[in-house]
Amino acid sequence: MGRETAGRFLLAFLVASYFLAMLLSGGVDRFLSEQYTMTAILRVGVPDEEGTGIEGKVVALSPVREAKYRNPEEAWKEFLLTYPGLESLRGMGKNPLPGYVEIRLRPKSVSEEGIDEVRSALEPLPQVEKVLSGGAAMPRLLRMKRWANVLLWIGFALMCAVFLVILSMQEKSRAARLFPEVSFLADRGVPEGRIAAKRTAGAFVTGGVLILLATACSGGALYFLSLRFRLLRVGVGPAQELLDARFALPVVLFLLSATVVQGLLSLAGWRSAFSKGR
Amino acid sequence: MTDFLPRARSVLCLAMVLSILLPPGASSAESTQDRLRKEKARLTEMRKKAEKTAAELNEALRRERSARHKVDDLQKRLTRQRRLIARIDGKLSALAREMEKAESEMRRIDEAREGTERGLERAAALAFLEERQTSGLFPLEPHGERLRYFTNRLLASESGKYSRLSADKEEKENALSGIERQVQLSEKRISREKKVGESLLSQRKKEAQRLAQIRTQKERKEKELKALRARLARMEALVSRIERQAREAERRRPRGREGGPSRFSGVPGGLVAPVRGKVVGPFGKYRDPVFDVEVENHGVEIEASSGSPIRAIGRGNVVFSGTVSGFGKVLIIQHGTGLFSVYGKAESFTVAQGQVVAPGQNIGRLPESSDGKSVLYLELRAAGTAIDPTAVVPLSR
Repeated sequence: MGRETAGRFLLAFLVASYFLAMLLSGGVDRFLSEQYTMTAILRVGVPDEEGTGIEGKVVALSPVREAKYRNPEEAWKEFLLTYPGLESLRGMGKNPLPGYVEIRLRPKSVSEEGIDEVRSALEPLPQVEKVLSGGAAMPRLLRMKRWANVLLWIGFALMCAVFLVILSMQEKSRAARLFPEVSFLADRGVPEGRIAAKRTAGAFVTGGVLILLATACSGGALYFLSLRFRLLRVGVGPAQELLDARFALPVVLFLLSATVVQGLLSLAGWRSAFSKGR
Repeated sequence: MTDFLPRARSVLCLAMVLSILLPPGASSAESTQDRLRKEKARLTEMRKKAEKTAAELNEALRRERSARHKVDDLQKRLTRQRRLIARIDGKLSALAREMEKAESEMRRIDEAREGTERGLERAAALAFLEERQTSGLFPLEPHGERLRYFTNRLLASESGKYSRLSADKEEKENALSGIERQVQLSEKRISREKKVGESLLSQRKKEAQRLAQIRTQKERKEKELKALRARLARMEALVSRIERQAREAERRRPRGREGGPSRFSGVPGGLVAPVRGKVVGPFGKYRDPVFDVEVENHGVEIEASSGSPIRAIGRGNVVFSGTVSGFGKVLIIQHGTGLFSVYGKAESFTVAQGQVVAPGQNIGRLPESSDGKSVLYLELRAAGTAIDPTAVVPLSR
């Protein structure tokens, strides 16, 4: 019994962890949003005040998570840092590079729509020379992102299915084990329906508690691991964000559905065991 | 010298007249005639010398004038040449400055071009590497696209700059070669002009040396002439003294013995032209173009065919026949008291001293010359004064 519960907890922990990770990261959305940047190249000679103004305007756009204005000098330093030895290109002390605004999108906005929204807001500006958004590789990348998300959710679905199968098997075997005792009680005049209802209600409670505990543990584990591993933080995101209201409903729904499923699986296991015993 | 010659001539004539008129028996007259003869010979010699010196001086003056003209001309040409050389020099300096400027510009362009070339090569290499790295599916580096854009932008800018610099360099090179061509031409011209200047300078030096020589010669001749004039003046004084003696002899002559007419109009038989020809040298004062002095001509020059016979203009007595420097063979005929006719520049005379001649009598002939023309000098003297022969003798002008 204890081993069964531990196994069930472990499964629930894994499913909950997968779910929370998918919830936080949106699949590969967060990873992509960390990697992907759009750049609004400003024209040469645009003053810093205007660059900062454009930065503020970009930050106000809904798909944008973060925007930073870099003046031409910073751009030149960054360029030299990447390609040292090109100082000679700065002919007669004149900086050949313009300033730019680096834009990072929200994970959910790393899409054609999000990119187009930012692009259409920036391109009409006379100070903007060009908006760089990944070029020709971007549609392919976004297509790949969608496929990757689908695959990840399929993985989650498979995991849930495995969890269900294991749970139903556990419930069936448990019902079969308890059949003599239930038959004894039934023979003594205790109604079978009451016994089944009691068992199902018990399964709901224990299942709910189990999934709640497992989810809490996975949340805690994600939090501690994301603190330690940067890759996890980059790929999945900070676990404390799970406390945001936007994640409350999916989590509650997950807990409820998991509880219901566990209760129903318990009932289904009893039914199967009784029908076979008669 | 011009004043001295007629005076000396008149003194000579007077002396000769005196020698004729004085009684042959008088010993004082004889001694006077001897002295007169000696003085005459001395005077003739001095005249010859004076004429020679005058001719030499004349030649020296002519040469000096010609040399001075040449030197002046050379000086002018040299000044012009120097001005031209200075102008070319100025132009050359301006060209050199322009060339220096163009060369420094070229150096600057070359340096900029080299820098751009290096940058371009590096940027091209980076762009190539970037392209290769990002040819996959996803730009792994977050700033890759931006840096690639910057690299391409720099590449384009540098290649534009490179093209501009190349065009600029080509233009400057063309300008430089143009300037170099101009400099070469100017240098050639200046060396040519310098050569001309040098040759002018050497010519001027030579002419200056020649002028100095001529001046020295002229000074020497002038000294000689001065000395000769002094001697002639002494001779003039001597002749005057003899003339006075002749007048004294005239006074001592016994009364009743006439000395002939005292005017040419009174010469018996009238006067005839000595040669057939026309007067080419007038009587009186005229300006000598060579010495630039006023010269008084005491006779006329009559041009006639060479070899023509010379006739006596009137009856008279030959008082002198000899050679006078500058006048060649000279014959003097006395026609009356104080009336003399002098014939010069003859080839020869056929009459001798003391012989009496009739009017129109052949007395000699003119010299032969290659152009077929010869000149006879005719001088008439009355009472010690030269008179215009055209006024008394029928001569065509």
